[in-house]
Amino acid sequence: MLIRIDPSSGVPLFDQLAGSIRASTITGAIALGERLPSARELAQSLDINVHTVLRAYQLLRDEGLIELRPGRGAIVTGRPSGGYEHLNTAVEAVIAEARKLEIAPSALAALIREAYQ
Amino acid sequence: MTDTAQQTRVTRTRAVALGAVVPTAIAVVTAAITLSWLPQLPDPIAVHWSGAGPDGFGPALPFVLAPLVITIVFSVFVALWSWRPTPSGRLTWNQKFLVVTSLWLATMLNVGFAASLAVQRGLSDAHEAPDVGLWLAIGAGAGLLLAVVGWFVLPPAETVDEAGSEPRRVDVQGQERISWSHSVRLSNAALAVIAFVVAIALVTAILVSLASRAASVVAILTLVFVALLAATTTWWRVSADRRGFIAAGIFGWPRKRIPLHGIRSVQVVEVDPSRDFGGWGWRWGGNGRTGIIARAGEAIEVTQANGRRFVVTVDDAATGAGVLAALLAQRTR
Repeated sequence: MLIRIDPSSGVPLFDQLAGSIRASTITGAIALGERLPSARELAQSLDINVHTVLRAYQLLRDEGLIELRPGRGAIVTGRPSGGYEHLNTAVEAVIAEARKLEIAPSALAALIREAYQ
Repeated sequence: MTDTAQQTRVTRTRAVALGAVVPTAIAVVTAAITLSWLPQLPDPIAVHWSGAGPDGFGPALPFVLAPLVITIVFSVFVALWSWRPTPSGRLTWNQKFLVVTSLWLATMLNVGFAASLAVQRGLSDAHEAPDVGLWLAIGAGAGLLLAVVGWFVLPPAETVDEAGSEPRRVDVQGQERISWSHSVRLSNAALAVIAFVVAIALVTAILVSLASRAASVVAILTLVFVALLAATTTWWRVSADRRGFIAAGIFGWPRKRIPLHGIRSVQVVEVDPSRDFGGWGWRWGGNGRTGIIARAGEAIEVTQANGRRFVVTVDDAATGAGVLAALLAQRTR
């Protein structure tokens, strides 16, 4: 699972973190039943506060994506509802097209961000 | 027949002869001899010695059977392990080491056990049994000699070094921070082998506990230790982030971290556990290559600043390696 956070963006860190993990469950980069890193571990990894990670985990728990078990950490128990296959295929298609046109990843992200707002 | 096919055949024949046939022959002959000694032995026999003399007593039959069973089981294991030589038909360092270990183990075990019986022939009371420490040393020495001879009879060892591939660098913008992690579970084949080893340890523990109470405590503690050690290697979390490349066991230990400044390069490789590393777990692969090997397949290989290479088998290795490559590029920018 690849997590990206950008402290210079306006979006709160816990929101970015939860979004990153949520995206990983959509693409299947994290499988059901898989254990997430402990909050302390992830906080050290990203050099952020452990409470930020816990807040992200609590958010995902409230969404029913993960289960928090004392002592055992966070386990992926669900996927966001709805069929994401179409979205995944569409994303792949967009990326393939962008590669063909040699558009930089940042430019592609900017395009999507502007169109989606 | 091609040269490679012929080399493969020669390698296989020698490996099986030295690693399985010779050890089994040693064990069978020894068992036949020690079996014929049974009527001349005291009952019970001395089975354990301390500095002052024998301090553990038990039946003689386990002493006849134990080296036979252990040698045969190990021989079968070695035959299976060395059956698949390298693409050019030779053995890897690990395979070769295992074959000569089989020779050493068979000699040491059989000489040791047989000698402990031999010195007790004709005694009416096992308390008079003389010390066998010298024989144990002789057995170990003879085994070592045989192993060295075996090493030179086997074809030269070689390292299989398949070229890895450069990962596609993960894109990072501005002040963005990236962190990648993935867990990896030990493959079922590895679990089966570990269960087998623990079973052997259990049998040995039971055999030894027949000998003396003190020994049984040591044996059981050893068994618990082996089982725990095995458990620590069944699951790993592999991470790549600002701290570098990290692999940690299920309890956060054992743990290996290579900081970013200690990494020269990173690539994605394919690993064959038995051929490249001689098994699973935290392994030494020869040629400055160590690894945490949980299963066959894709792996991240990090070349350290000192030239040593560290390999970890993990799913989605391409992304993990891509993250490391991006972080390395960021450092030099």
